[in-house]
Amino acid sequence: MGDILSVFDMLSWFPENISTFGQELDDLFAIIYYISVAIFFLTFGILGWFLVKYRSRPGHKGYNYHGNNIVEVTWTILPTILFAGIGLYSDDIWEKTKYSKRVPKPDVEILVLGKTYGWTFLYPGADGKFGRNAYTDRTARALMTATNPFGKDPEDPASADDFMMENQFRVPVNANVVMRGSSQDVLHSFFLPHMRVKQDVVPGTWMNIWYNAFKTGTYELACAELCGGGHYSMRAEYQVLSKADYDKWLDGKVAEVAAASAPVAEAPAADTTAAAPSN
Amino acid sequence: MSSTTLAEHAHVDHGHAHDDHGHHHQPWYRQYLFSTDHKVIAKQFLLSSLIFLFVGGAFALFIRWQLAYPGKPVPVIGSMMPDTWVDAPGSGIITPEFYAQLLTMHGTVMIFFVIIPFAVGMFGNFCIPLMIGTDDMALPRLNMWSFWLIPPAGLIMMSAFWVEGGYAAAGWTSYPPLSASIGNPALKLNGQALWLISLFLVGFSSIMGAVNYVTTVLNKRAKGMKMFDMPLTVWALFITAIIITLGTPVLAAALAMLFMDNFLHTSFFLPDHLVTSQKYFGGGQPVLWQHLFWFYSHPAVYIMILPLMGIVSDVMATFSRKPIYGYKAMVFAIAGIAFLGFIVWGHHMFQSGMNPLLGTTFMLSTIVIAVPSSIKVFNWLGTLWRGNIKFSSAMLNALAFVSMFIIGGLSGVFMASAPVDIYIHDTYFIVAHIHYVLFGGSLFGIFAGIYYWYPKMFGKMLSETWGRRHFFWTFIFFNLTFFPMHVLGVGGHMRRIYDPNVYDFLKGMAGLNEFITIAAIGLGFSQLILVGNILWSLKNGRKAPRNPWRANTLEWAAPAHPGHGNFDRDITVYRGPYEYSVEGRDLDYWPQWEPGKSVTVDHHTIAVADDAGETKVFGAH
Amino acid sequence: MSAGLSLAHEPVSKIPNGKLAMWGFLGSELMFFTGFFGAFIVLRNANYDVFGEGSSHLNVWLALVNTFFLIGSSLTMALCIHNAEHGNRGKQQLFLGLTLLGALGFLVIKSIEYSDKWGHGYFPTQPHHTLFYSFYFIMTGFHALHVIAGMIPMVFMWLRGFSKEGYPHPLKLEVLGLYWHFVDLMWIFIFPALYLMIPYHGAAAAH
Ligand code: HEA
Ligand code: HEA
Ligand code: CUA
Ligand SMILES: [Cu+2]
Repeated sequence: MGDILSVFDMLSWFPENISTFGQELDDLFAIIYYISVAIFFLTFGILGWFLVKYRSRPGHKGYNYHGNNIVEVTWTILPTILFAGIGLYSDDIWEKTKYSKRVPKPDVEILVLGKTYGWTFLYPGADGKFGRNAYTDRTARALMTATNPFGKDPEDPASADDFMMENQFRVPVNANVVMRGSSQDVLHSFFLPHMRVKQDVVPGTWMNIWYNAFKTGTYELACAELCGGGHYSMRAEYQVLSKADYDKWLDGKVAEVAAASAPVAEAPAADTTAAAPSN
Repeated sequence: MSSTTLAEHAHVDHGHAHDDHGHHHQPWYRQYLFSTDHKVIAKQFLLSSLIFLFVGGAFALFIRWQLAYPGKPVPVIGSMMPDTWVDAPGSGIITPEFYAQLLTMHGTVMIFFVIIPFAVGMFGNFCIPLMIGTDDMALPRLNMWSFWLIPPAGLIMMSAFWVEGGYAAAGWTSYPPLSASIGNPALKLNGQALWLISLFLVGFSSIMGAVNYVTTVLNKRAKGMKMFDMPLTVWALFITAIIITLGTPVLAAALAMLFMDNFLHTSFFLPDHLVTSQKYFGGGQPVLWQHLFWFYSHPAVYIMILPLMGIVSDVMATFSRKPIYGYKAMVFAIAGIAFLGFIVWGHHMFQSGMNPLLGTTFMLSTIVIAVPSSIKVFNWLGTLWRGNIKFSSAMLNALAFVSMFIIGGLSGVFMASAPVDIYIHDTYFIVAHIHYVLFGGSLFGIFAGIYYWYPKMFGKMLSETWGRRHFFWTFIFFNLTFFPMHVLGVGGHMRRIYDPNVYDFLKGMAGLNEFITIAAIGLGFSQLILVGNILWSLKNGRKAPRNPWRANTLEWAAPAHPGHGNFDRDITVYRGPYEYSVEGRDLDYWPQWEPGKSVTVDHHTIAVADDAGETKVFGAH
Repeated sequence: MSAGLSLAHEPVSKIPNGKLAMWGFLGSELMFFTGFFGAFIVLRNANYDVFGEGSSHLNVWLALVNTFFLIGSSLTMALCIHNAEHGNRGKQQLFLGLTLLGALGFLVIKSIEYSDKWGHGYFPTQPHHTLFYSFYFIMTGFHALHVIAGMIPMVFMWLRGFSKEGYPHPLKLEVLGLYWHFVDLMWIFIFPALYLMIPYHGAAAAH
């Protein structure tokens, strides 16, 4: 019984929120939800009342009445005001979460690339800067291949320490994480349910994705845009780590990359273990 | 072909109004197959849409099975399924690839082969000439062709069964690059290419029909009928036809471009440097397709609901014995929805990577479009107020339309708010919205229309008992099936996924998914009652009187089962379509075609004694 | 139409059914080409060089001749309708014949252009194809299809015109004329968009 009732307590079904602006989105949802519930009971109440009161009975007659303009204008203007309120309030939050000029100064910057079916991430490595690649330089897009998905330019020394992660990534807690997302083949959508983040990634352009998590833990990343038979399996995990843990992990990674690239300069894509799927 | 069984009744009443039409000895295929009579064409649309309803519904039941019991063989027919559908021959377990085909075909069939042909094809054809009091469409031959493009289009789409890779599998929205089938060699027809060809034909059919409707309404109204004497059904169909005329060709252009990308490897929608095995020239933009597609497909959702809004208004006025509350406001609301419908398409693209500034504009315009919808809802409630409400099957379905549209519309308001849409976009919240407006709205409206006009269509009354049973079960199972989907959506359950159990955060929803599936099976089988009722009443139904519902509009002036030419008397229109319960009359209705004078005082109509014609009411019994 | 009944009365709007429907259909056609033009504008601005380069290989002179063919045939179509309404059968046939000739000339020149493009490998799936040529072929291709679609009833009407009673439906001619002017009008948009309005400052290719 409790299970059945919980269906109507819709707000309780949200997965836990871990991002700073997530609460604002949830609150906005809740506001619209309560307005809707009120309108639902109002309209259904009136409907039910009329249906009972004016049901056909012997001796009962209809009423010839064609409507009233004052009433029409009233019920045009009232919802307009209500809707305008919702719209303006929503727009504030929309601008904050999505406008490119409102993207905060990144504490951590990561590139993310969708492919059928998986996610690849690129970290700037020890120097904290990306070398020449498909994101930093349009022309480097020509270098994108299945084994070098980000089009890293092996000639550019700043590229050498940029390292890739497959189907998992890590970010520090309480930091502005800015991700630039794209795809190497079809559309995918970068969906972090617990962060209230969703952004389609489109081949040929880079999208801004940002968030700031306030809680550590391991969470899931999903693809939310149909991308073929394996769409459902395009799942990845990510960890939100404390600053100390994150730095430790990053240092380890940097050392690993340095060791791998020491002998020859053929290493850029060595991090990729999974074979590229056939398209 | 069973269209003959449906169509042969068109001739029962034959021989009234058309002695000079000279078609008495037309061969059977001219009478039943390639007929130019709008009523026969309407029946053909009815038949084809009903068949496709079951095809699309069967796809949905496969989908539901997979979601509730992932990895379990489909019961009963699983072992008979073709090898390309299942993971091992005879195993009955659906593959992920086939799942994508299923949801694509489900959405496509339901929208392009069920709802639009029902709403526009069938009701447009049947209602417009009869309700404006004329003998046929303006261009009957064109009308015939607009139906006869549908069967080949359906066959082309379904023929993907024999093609390598199967049916189209990119969703009914077919976003490129996926729908450009970027791994496939050029000049090779695949399911997606067939999908594009098929929709091109459907679009052409829509346009031919729409042009015809506009012409008919403008040119063929009965004597004395001004535009504002037309029933709301005709108004809605007229405005819908204008949307089709202006919107559908844009889709056609987009389909042509996507076909080139798919078949000839051009790159209208493909950017530079895709990592694929095939060569593309690049330079295109994937999001451009979404703009073109939604420029048509958002207006298209109103194509799918406006005609039913008109029908429901007529049904509600008739069974409340009341004029429509705010008739003109209703007309302006329809026109407003139609106009605004062309400037809100971007609300499907909030997360698509479109410039977020555009997101703001589209959010605001979307929110504005909810206003005319609200006006309509309030006017429907106003129509019930102080009525004398009779709960016939048609009325029950109309009431279901209103109430379910409120729920579906309210969920639309969540998504219209762009920041809320970030989280619920592409989740089951959207799927719930789709079905509340398209099934709860459109399909219930279609049911209402079928129950309402069946007597005029076939000359027989539908069984009310079975009609009510059908309504009752459908209404209950519908809500049990689709309401919980809102909850799945709030939980983050993505749409178009084959197996939700892959995700930890969706683990708690398996029970809900199973519940939905059981309800969906019930919902599907409830539709058999409708089909049974239609067929049973054809043979055994009570013979229909001319005006069984004591309604006002012109179709009820025609013989109980009109033949070619529709009317057996001249039609002159004396008043608006909704003069029910007029003071100063014994009868609580006052047909449009009946002479007589009235005055209007304070939004009331009062009959003025008039010697002529007062008693010549047709069909009163 | 019917003996006792007058349900099928004069068109309420005073515009004949066929003509009104044709106006509606042309509205639809306009939106069809608007779809292409919209996409063209967006992608042209994003790929200015590719479009300029592609456009520089088009033969403006052939297209200009074609423009005159189409405008001419539009004019003769109007003259044909004028004469049909005044019952000048001979001139009606003459001008309809000239219209057909113009249409045919247009198609001949178009096919010369196309075969040249084929020779240079500009067709889709050929090696020198670019996004510009995708637009070139889809827009001129659909336009040419419209020309052909107009010629079919035209040939029929023309041949009927030689029979004893002539072609007895001036209204149908007029409706076809509306369509024909539209086909002409579309070309007037397509011609500058593809051939003229994309200056290219790179090195002109050898061919
Ligand atoms: C018949 C079909 C139909 C109808 C009528 C509507 C009506 C509306 N739709 Fe819906 N929509 C679809 C069919 C339809 N839709 C489909 C098929 C999709 C999915 C496509 C896909 O991706 O596959 C979709 C998707 C869709 C989206 C995209 C979601 C996403 O993908 O992220 C959005 C976003 O704004 C939206 C909004 C709306 C709104 C605001 C209305 C409004 O018109 C609703 C207005 C109605 C009301 C508001 C209720 C009644 C009013 C009152 C009771 C008055 C009082 C109310 C208040 C004061 C609030 N719809
Ligand atoms: C009018 C339109 C319409 C209608 C009526 C329906 C009806 C139904 N829909 Fe549909 N649906 C859409 C339009 C519609 N749908 C659209 C546009 C989409 C989006 C597609 C996309 O993402 O691209 C969608 C997507 C969609 C999904 C999401 C799929 C996904 O994202 O993965 C689901 C899942 O549950 C679903 C379920 C159902 C069910 C259970 C019904 C039931 O109401 C069906 C009831 C069944 C019948 C009426 C037929 C009964 C048949 C029999 C009794 C015969 C049985 C025989 C055999 C099984 C052989 N639909
Ligand atoms: Cu990637 Cu779905
Ligand atoms: Cu929409």
